[in-house]
Amino acid sequence: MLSKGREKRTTGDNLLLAGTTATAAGMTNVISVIAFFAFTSNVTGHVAIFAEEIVKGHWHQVFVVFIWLFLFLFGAFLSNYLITSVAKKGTYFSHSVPVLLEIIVLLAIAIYGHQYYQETLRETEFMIAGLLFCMGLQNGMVSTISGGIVKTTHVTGLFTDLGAEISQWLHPSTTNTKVLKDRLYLRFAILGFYIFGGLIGGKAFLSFDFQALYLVCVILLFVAYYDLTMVITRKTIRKIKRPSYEMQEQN
Amino acid sequence: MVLVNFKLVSESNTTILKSKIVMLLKGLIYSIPVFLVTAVIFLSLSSDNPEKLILGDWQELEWSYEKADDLPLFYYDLSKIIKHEAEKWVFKDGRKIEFHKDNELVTVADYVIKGRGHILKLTYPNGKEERYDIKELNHNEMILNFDIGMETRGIAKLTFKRKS
Repeated sequence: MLSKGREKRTTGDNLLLAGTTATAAGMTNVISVIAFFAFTSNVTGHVAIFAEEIVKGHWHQVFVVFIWLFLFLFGAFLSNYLITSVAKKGTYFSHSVPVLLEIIVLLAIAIYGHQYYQETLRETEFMIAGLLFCMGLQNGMVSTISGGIVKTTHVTGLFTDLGAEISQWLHPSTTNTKVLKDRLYLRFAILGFYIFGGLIGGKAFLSFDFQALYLVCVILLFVAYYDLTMVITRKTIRKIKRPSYEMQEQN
Repeated sequence: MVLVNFKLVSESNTTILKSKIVMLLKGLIYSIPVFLVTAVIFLSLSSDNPEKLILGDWQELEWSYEKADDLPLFYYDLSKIIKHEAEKWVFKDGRKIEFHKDNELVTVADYVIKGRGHILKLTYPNGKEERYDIKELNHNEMILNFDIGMETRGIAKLTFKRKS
């Protein structure tokens, strides 16, 4: 999932990455809607709200929404910045840094929400900010890794792309290429897993409160750990398969 | 010779002037976001937090059903709404709310403000919950919409005036 750069990625790699991260985003979004009455996996609505609050002169809300928007943006910025900064240490390592950072922030929110959350407005605003930062981080990471093909935290763009691609698929004058077919698979996978994540997230939050976010952390750990196991397994296989003369030469 | 020199001097002056104008414009462009951010921070610091603003006595002035005509299309069982008519709502510290009618205490509840300060959630002693969308909240007026979902608001509108 994370060990290949954009040029070497297969549809399978992208499908796996899209499915897992879309589930995490869907879960996070529904959890925040139930707990805080605010969407956290997309910022389209927040931009509209930002304008609405300016018009109404609700300056406290203007500031809060401004910070939320900024943190989503900062998450995406940091994600790309981290990936580029540590690229020399290997593709897998650089891609996994934003995932690990997201897990840490989500874990902090889950622990705080479960143990200390008093439902004050200030706490709510901070926790929404943290979740928006995480989603910015995740969306930036997924987009950077896949070369902009996969974006898993919102569905507005997805529906637009899906509409256009279905039209291409059905149009008599268009040839159905493998690329188009793969993209359609990818879009449907993101949509399906986003909805699936939302259902699971909602159910888990109603049953386990903020502990539901631990489940999101587990999914993200899978994203990070899956490749770690794959990388290690591949290296081990390569070592085993290596001809004996190569080993002797090295020695 | 003098003419050539004059031409060169005037051309270099024009270039300097152009570069100065470009620098000035760049400075203006860069300063706009800084100005906007400063303005937003200043205005937000000078405005009240909704949690503080809501504290005090609020007299209910009006209870109206905004979308009642569309009920066949947009059905919601209005019997589920607790109708707080001609009441005084007293928001107290510790997130407690008292409902008064004819100067008598009717009931109490816990309240929390959520989202960006736009959701008022009431929890009654029997566990029943009510959610209101805060459409307006200032020093004199509070307008609440009964909230039955993220995208469906405005069925019941409650208007309050602060009691001094």
